[in-house]
Amino acid sequence: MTESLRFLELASAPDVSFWARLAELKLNEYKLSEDPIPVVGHYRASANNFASPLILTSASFDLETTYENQIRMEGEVVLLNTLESMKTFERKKAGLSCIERIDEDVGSGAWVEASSKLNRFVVVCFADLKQYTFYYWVCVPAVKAASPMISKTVEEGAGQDVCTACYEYYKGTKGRTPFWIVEGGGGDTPFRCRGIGEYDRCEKKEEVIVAFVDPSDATGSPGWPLRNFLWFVASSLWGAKTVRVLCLKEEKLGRFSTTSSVLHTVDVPPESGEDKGKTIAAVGWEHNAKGGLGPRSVNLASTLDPKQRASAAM
Amino acid sequence: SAAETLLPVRSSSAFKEKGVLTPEEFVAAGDFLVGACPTWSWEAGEAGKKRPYLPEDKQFLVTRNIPCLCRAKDLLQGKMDEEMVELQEGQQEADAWVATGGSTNTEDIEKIADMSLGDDEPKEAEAGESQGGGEAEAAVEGKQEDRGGEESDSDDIPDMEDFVVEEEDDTVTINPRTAVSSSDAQEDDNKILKTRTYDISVTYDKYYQTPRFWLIGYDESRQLLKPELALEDVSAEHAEKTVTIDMHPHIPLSSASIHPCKHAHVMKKLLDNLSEGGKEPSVEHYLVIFLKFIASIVPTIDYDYTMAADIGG
Repeated sequence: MTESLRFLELASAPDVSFWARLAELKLNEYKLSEDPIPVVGHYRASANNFASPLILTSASFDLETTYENQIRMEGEVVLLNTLESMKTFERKKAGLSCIERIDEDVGSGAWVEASSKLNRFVVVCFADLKQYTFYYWVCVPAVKAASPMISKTVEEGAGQDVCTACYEYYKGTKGRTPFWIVEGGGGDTPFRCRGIGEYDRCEKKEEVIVAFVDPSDATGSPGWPLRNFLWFVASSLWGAKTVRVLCLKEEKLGRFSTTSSVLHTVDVPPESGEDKGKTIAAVGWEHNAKGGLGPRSVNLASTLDPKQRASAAM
Repeated sequence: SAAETLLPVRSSSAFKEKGVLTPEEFVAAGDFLVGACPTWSWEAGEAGKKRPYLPEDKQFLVTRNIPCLCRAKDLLQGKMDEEMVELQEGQQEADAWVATGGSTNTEDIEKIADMSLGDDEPKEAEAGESQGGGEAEAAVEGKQEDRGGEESDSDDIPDMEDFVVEEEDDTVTINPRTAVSSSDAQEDDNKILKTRTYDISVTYDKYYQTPRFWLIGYDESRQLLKPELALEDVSAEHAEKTVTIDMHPHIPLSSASIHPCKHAHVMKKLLDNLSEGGKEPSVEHYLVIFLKFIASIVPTIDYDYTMAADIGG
């Protein structure tokens, strides 16, 4: 009765203002440079049984942008000069270099202050500015482990106490903390939330619950960002055999939902010495609307083309 | 508009008397909304479009990715006229909400189909990738010079069939689209097709001195919706009269908006009703009340997370 834990892809959602700002920066600033452009994206917990995408807006280019109740994710845009070079773009390498950056942040301990650093994204794109068409492909790379995580149990719903404790902790973190630790809750002890870096100080490790701000709306499948946590932290760093993850979803008013939050118990296969380090492959290039692996495109002539805008304003 | 640039900004509070807001009151009400309903956030918008009478980082309010599972006309069981997009009709009704603008002649947003990548042959593709990989840098450098060549002048959808993809053989990834269609395929497909999402924004309208409500829609594959199609998600009586398509004040985009010409009038009534009911609403509650009122105009867009917010008292 073992079943691999499956993860729901984090869909990308660049909006019009994102492309407009990118087009403007390309014309005035980047010109022909294909150097990666640092950006930030945001996602939130799934709300109202509706998965949250990774949202990219014009504010994505302002790296200090943070929102209450939205998880920040750092990433980069690779803006290529030709459609042709999108075809030859080394996606594998780009995915792996994200994983390396995450690995560095785990190694240096930077992830402890901002567990959002466990995930990054890359947008490779080509902007056809004559046609106001943008071709793009987004990747949120995750490590493909040698053996899958095993879903042991899935319990729907969570108590009001734990949801309240989690919300109180989360709302002060400015979206830099998608993961934290929840202790207590047994008998008379109230639930207590603490930073993810304090795992070693927890007395009863087997009772620790990891809280996760979950963008997935699927009960049995947590959102994509959990995947790197399980590999980098639970498996590699903690060497845990089993972890309990409380996947927090939102309800109206942005609080965590007692009905749609889900507690997963996951068996984490440790990376054996032989596999360690050499099995790393990055997965996470987004499926397009057809369900295949491939870029998407968006045509914004009607909104960005000055000629069309002028005629629409008549 | 020209009138907007020439008019002075309202400086004295008159929300109880007239149902209008000063920019400061808009900010106070926005702060309350963001605090009470964290799904809303302040945005700065485009740098070139900032209104000087609002704080730099608090130009307008946004809540994104709001699901809209069915069209308003499905909700109303065919009450809506097929020709509801004919905004002009509304003009004939004397006491109707003013129909402004009419429909624009915005070109169809051409939906370019997402490109398929021949993902049924992973083995071959893999071989192709390893070959292509070595040439990648050369290709990139070579192409930098002749940017904007024939290809980008062509109206054709570029052929991306030859995109080389290594199928990521990763059985634990769930693609949101395929995830749903497994159980009851037909019904779920139907649900996907009808599911739109909206980014909703509330701006301050200097001329009418009220908030203004904007809808930016996306279809099931996250392609931008023609603003006219947003009218399908507005209740029939309002789609004909009160929704206009205008340039968004802070985003370079024309989008559907509920015209604010009667907002002050309606808001005054609602505030009066609350007062009569013994609740004395303060100006901070203005946007919460405003959004409840707008919710009746867009019945299938479930953005109103404010129901439980305590107002008055």
